Amino acid sequence: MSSTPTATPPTPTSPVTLAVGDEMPVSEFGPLTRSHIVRYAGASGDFNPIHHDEEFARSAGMPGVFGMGLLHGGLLGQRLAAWVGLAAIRAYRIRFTGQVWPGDVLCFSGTVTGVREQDGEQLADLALEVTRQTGDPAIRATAVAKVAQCA
Amino acid sequence: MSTAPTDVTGLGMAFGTLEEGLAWAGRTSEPKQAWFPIDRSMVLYYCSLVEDANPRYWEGDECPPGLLMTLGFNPQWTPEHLHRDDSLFALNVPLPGHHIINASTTTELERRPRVGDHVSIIEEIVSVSPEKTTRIGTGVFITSLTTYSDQHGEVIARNTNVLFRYEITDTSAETEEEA
Repeated sequence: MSSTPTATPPTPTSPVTLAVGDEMPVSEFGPLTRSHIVRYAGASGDFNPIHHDEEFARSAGMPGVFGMGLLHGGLLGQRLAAWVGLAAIRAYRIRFTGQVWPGDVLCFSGTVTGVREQDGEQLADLALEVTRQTGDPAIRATAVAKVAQCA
Repeated sequence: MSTAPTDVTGLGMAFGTLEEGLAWAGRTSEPKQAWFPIDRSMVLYYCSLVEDANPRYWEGDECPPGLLMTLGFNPQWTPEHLHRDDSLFALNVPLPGHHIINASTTTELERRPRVGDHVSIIEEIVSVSPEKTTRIGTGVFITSLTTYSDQHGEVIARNTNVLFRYEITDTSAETEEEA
């Protein structure tokens, strides 16, 4: 089954202007399905059975299978790149604060927490988050991106 | 630990005592080359999954950085004469826990990976934490630093990853990680 093609805004190809408090456009993904998990396993080679074998997942203390962290970490990275431009990303750090489960609708958000100059570049510090439909955070992330010099 | 030290994950995990595992801090792997060069099908399957329309991937030769970490996985099966016993180095740390999940990851890019890069991987075990109990079990956090270079020796990225290697302590445990 294929997903409906969606129109996505072009990824910036040069540094964008950002100021403290600016927000990444909020977006959603889901509901997450077992097919997404299987597709990630195939694309990544991550065949840890905790992600695709219900019985194994339960034996590992989980209520069932759950998404790989780098699945929604990758989804967040894609949204980050669409916001600031892929070439502008200098660092990307994600901390997994909880699992995501089949049926979850994931929400992606971010904000600029600081703008500074370093080594001749104007850099923005970003705080990013992936939350489940329950409001529980699944990822808390930070990133550093090169931004345009303010006029 | 009463359970037999078998790798129930099939990921190539090694088993040992906590003391043996702690002694691995500071060890560095031999360089290993990824099984496959980065190719377009990998890139497009991944972009299709994360719904990334960036034309640099669909119509160019770039690779999403998120795919780099996956290059360390060996195929689940190979012909015997091609078998390599070099799964992810962090999984080789001998420890008691039978289960493993990712706790955090940090990527610093030197350049964007491209189709055709045949990546070499060197992993360093930065630290093995003392035993800790989280909501999902008791185990240790393994921090590793992986350096990805291309076939010409140019560094593409460095990734610091933290895995939680654990044994469940309570089957009714809640699931949130406390990384």
